[in-house]
Amino acid sequence: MKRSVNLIIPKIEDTPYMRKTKIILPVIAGVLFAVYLLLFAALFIYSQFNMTQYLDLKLEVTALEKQINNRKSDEGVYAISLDKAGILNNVMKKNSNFDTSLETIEELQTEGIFISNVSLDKKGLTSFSMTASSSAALSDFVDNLLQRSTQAKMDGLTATGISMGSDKKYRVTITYTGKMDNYQ
Amino acid sequence: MKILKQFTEYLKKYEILVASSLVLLAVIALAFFTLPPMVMKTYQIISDGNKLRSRYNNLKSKNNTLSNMDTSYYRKIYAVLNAIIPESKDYVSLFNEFENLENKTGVVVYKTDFQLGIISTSSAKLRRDSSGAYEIPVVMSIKGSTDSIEQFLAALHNLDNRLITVENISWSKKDTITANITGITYYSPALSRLSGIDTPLTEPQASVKKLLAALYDINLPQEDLKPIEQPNVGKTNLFR
Repeated sequence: MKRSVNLIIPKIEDTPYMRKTKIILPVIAGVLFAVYLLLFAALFIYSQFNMTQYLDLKLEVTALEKQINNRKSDEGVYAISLDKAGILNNVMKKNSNFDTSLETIEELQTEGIFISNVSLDKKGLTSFSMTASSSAALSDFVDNLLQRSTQAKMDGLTATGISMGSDKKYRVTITYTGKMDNYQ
Repeated sequence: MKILKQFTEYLKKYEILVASSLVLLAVIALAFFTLPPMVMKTYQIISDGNKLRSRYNNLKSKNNTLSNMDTSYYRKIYAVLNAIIPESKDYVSLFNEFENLENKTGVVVYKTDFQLGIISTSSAKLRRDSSGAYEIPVVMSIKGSTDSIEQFLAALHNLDNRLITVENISWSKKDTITANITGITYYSPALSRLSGIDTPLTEPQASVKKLLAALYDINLPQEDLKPIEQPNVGKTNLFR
């Protein structure tokens, strides 16, 4: 009787899942490795490129800073002039113009009227003492004052201490607040 | 021996899987340790580059402005402004001004009172008013005709000498006019420091531009104009 011995080890077949894994996993590993290499190279090249640009720009910035530093005196003159001009502008804006108010008082001094003591502040608060040589002059003065009061925007126009002296002259103190213009 | 043989067989069977897994692990490890620092570095370079570019643009614009600036224009204005609003209390210039005004207008300044207060211009107790200048109250007593007093008042704020603004006037009239004038004169120490090198130069407002043009047209006597070599931009040494 002839006997036979099977020496071939029976092949254990992979499961379908294992077969798929054996194909996919190397592909994934290869792709990821390539992606990594690409990313690394891209980042390296990009950063080197930017670094060169940065260093070039830095040189230009240093050169410009040097040029500006050489003009520091001009910059100082410009900056201080502008600062001081701004201050002067502010001062002039709030600086009251007394010219119009003084003109108004001057114009009130018509024939027979003598304005002796005047006080005027920057808010327009005006007070003056006047002497009228006659009642007619006083009446004309009052008419003139009332006429000008609207034009000169006199507020709180008051006449106090009306008296007649032994010299037959009338003395009155006038107070009002006039509109003050500012310089521009 | 049998275990080793089994292991070798197993490895042979799954060598592709093992190699792939090793490659995957290596990629993950490399990506984890090398990419984030690289990304951070690149980001830093880009961010610094943007900042540097912005600084460069500011510097370039400032340099162009300074190159095109008519420096003689501003140097003249600077000198005129220093005569109108000096950097210190400079009471000598006030006396000189009254002397000039007497000669110019014909009034007689018979009494002056400057409330100089703290003598040091750089005292910490000094405060600026809303305009930005320091104020020195001034009281003047003058005598003259109506015309000369009007001229005197106009000359106080003419901007061709030290500025004095009038707060209050009172006068009495007999043969001549005797007037008491309360006013304020100003001084303004130089800027404590200039702005940063890359800070753009400020453009003056329209009203300031107009004032600058008017100041340029003022011709002060040479002795009133102090030469400018290097503008004083404040104290650099606390003990000086």
